[in-house]
Amino acid sequence: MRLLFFATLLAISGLGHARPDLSKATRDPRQLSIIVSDLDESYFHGIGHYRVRRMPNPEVPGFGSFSGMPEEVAVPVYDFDGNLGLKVSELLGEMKNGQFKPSAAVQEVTLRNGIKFRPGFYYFDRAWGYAEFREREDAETGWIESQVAEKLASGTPFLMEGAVLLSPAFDEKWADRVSGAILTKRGASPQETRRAIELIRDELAMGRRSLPDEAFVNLQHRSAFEFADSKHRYNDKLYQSLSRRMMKSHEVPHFLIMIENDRRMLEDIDAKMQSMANRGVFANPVVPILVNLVEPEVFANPAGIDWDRSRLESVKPVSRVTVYWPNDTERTDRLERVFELALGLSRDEALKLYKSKVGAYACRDLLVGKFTREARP
Amino acid sequence: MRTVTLGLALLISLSTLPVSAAKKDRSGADCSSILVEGLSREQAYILQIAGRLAAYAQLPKLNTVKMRLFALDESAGQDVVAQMLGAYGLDKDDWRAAQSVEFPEGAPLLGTSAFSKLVRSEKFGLNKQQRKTFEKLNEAAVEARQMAKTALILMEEAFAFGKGRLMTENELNLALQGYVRDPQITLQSLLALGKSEGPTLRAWRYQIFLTRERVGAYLRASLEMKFIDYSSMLGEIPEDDLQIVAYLAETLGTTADDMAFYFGEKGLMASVGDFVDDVVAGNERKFRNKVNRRIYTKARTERMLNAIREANDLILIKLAENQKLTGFAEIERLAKDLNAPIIVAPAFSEINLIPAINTHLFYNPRVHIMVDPQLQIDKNTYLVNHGTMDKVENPLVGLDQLYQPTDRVIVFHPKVVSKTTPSGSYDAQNGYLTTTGSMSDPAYRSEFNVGMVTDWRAQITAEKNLGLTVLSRRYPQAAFSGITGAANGSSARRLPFTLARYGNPEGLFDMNKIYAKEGVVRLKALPALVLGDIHLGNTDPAFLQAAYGILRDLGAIVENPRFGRVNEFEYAPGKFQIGALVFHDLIDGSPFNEHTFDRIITRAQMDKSGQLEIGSHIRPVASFLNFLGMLLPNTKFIVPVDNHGHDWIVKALEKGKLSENFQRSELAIMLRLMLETVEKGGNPYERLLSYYGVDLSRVIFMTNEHSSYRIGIDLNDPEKFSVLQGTEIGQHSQNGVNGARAISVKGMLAAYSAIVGGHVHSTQELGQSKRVGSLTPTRQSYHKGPSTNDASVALIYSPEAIQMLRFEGDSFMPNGPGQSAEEFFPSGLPKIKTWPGGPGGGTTDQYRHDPPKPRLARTR
Repeated sequence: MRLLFFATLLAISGLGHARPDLSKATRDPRQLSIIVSDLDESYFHGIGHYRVRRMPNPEVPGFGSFSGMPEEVAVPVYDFDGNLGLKVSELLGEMKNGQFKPSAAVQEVTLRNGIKFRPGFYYFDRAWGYAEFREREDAETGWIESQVAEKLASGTPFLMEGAVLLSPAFDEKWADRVSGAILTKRGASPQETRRAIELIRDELAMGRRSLPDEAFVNLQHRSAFEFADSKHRYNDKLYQSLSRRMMKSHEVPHFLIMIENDRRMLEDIDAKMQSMANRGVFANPVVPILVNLVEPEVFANPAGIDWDRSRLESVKPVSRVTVYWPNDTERTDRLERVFELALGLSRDEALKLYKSKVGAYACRDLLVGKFTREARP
Repeated sequence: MRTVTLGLALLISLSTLPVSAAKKDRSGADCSSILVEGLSREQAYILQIAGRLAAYAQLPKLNTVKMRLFALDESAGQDVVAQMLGAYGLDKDDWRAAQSVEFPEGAPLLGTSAFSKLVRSEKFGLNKQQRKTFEKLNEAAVEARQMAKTALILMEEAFAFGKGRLMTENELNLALQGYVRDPQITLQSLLALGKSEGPTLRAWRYQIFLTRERVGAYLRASLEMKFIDYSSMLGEIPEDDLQIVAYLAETLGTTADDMAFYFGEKGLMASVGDFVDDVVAGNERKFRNKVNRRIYTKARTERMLNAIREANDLILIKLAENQKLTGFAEIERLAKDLNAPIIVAPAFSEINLIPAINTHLFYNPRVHIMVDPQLQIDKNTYLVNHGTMDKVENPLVGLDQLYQPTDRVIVFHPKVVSKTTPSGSYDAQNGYLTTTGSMSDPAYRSEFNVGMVTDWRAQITAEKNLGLTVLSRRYPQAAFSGITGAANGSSARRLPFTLARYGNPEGLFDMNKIYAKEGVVRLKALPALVLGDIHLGNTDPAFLQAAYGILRDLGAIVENPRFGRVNEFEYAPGKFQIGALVFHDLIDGSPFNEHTFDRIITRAQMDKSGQLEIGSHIRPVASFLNFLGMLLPNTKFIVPVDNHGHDWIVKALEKGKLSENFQRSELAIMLRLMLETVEKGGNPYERLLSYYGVDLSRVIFMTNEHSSYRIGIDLNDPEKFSVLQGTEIGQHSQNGVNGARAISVKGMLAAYSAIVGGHVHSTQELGQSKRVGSLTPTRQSYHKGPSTNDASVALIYSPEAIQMLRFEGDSFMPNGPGQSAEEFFPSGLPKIKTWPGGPGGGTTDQYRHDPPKPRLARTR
């Protein structure tokens, strides 16, 4: 099934228009590619928890009570809101006006960190549940920073493809043509995110380049107020900035690359980038590229992960890399295509560069096995 | 000759006269001298004068004293009164003056205080001399009558001690006339009783029983001896009162009518029944081996009331008119298991209508025959046997107007009918009217199969509706005192008789047991359990708890041995299996549906408080179903098409009213889901619930196209009910037959034969057509007018065995005998109550023109 899916995609890409050969094109010195990566489950995996609280009295009114239910459960990010697995956020009960209403998920589930609980009798308290997604006031080291340090110290694989694709942004070698940013809905301070990412940069010897604080956009932090919690607005701003960056030679366009794994956003980003590509900007053309890091296993599973309770066949499949050329959309599953375009490398060079990164910290293969086994609660 | 004989008897009797009888009388004379010497001539004559003066003549001028006494003088041959004037302290002048006085009709008798009052009164108009004359005559007469009475009482005493009985009226008159020496003086004239004072003889004897205790005691002992002799001779305690009285009269040489004066209000004994009871109780040894043919006795009633007081459960059965009681072995098994008395009510409350074939009931110590039309059990529970014909269409007609809305009235009748008492806007725990059912043979079977068509139908009804009722005490739970109020009371449940099914024997079905001839069979599974309308979110927690309690009692869920460990629930799946659990009006959804559709302000308020969010109504339902699914892993959940669920969402969709009813944030997804489902021919209501998390692999949502779900078909013997395969549980019954707007239990009976529906929030039964009540509070938020709300569930075993369990507050069954009888039965309950008579010969059946003739007279 999976093979059929990718074969179809390849066939579609083969039938498209002829792509410009950028390796032989003249690149303007002011040409720039900006790689924007989502953080959770795109850049790294398993950093932080959402915290959920048990209903006040662990009992079914008029019937009986539960024993041994912990008052609070820390749910890993990927279990709470990931594409695969439990999606605990949708299994929780709700607390309204001081009254608890259980959800339909009354069975016991096992989180991927081994903790067992009954999510139907827990609720998400906004004031408390986001604690690990905010600035930490009680310690110098923030949540992201400390947990990344912990992962690195223990040698646990935790980096996703986003870390590979963003790595050139930290290398002085590509400083003239590539920049990068982290775009997340977390509310940590930009400094904290920067420090955490730089820990990874140093550990993996990606380079010595530092990105400015403005490159770490935590949408729920006050510093990102102007984007009103919208990834679109941020991308739109980058697009406009790039289109104002004057180039004499237009053979190689600017590239705006967005790496995202949240399938609920992918369709929207896809539509947005389609419209960006066809805005008719000819002076300084900007080509958006969407990197879809949704786990292919999601599409491969015909029984479906019931996203948002809609059926799988109605979900629009999006290829791994989509390049929105004007009037032509290029689709491919080769992630190194991003390097080809942004760095002007040949296909072999790009593949070689892609494979050289991350190494032991790449957790994708380990995770995939787990995802498919525990696809449903 | 007769006088001589009597006088001789008197003289003989005198020798046996007790010493106390010889005491000084009020007149100063010695009693024995009174008897021996008799009255003086003057005393005898004054009594005769009194008699003559009282005789009113119709002709004019014949009512003067002279004319009235003329005959007396004539008979004596001379002016006798004039000769005796000296003895009365009068002279001839006095007498002459008195002779012209005329007495009116009905004047008082001479020798009474009333006569004295009359002559003294100014209105009567006597002069001084006349007044003096009559007063002196009156004094003499009083003395003479007193002496005569004293003498007669002494003669009665002597006679009683000699003969063992009192004199008859004839004997008394003869004795009196012999004593007074005037054949015209009778007991009547001596006692001078008015008509209102009843028979002279009864009054005379009452006086003796009151004043002469020794005589009474002697007579009672005498009768007792005769009765013991009679009983020994027969070898049994005879049933009939008249038979006993006739024997006693015969042996004592008197008539049965005369003997009847010994019993009754002014008799020696209150009744023949009491007399026999006392004799039997006082001579236990002598009656030990005697068969007691007396069915209805005070002692038996007392025993029945005591049994009621001591038992936690009562088994109630109606005996159909002149029909054999079947399945008694099963009933006895049940009685033994529950340790309960069996109360049997005969047709028309007539003990004698019990056919001879059922005589064994009288000798069974567990069986009590209730022949009273009404018995009050506790504060508001009544057993009623008002004597309606067995074949009558609705035996409960009119009873709701005789009892309080909170009363529980259990009517002895073979039909299966139940209804909740109408209460209008009286928001209380409703009472109900229900019949007991009967285990009798069908009363309509015509011997030669030549019965009318109606008879055949009635026969099938009767065969399908065999069963009885068990009345159980229930007890309050402290935790629910605020909700249930005074929880003391009784709760009735019907135990239908089922045929052999699913490999189980035939017998009485109760919860998870079959009481069969062979023994008590514990069931392993039940085809279905129907809960009262749930209205989740608006459910009374006490009722919901009671519903869970049923699952526990059945054994469908058991205590979880791992409770106490992490994430464990108190209960776990049990071994008892329930095929299907039926939920009527599963979601409340009252903010959306047409109950409150038109209330603009209410809707605005609900919108503001977030009640118009449909997810908040459906999500708890999903939680409820999934949670039950966890505890009942093998049970199917059936959700019929109901007006609070499927109907309102589909109607809202069809009318394009969704946008008016729900919050916009949910509208898009709802429309998308429902329209997609409609396109594909699915059930939009089901899709919506599955969106909010209901596990569709467990729940069957009925649709209008497939709104029938029959359960409990007996695959072992499908021919038994060739037409009536299974019990219908997929019908909420808000839709009528053939497209009508509503449906009654009678209509459901016609359409389905065996069905359990919902919708009306009142428990109803008509044969095997039933309706469960609701699990909501009495008054719902959307009720605009009166409400009759009660709570119940139905257990379905087979098409002929569907058990309705009414919830009384938080429990439907006694949950512990922690209460004493004194607490349960305040102020002398239980007690027999009289039934107001009326047309229909003391029954409520005013059309009955041919009341059945009992085999024997009613003995009571």
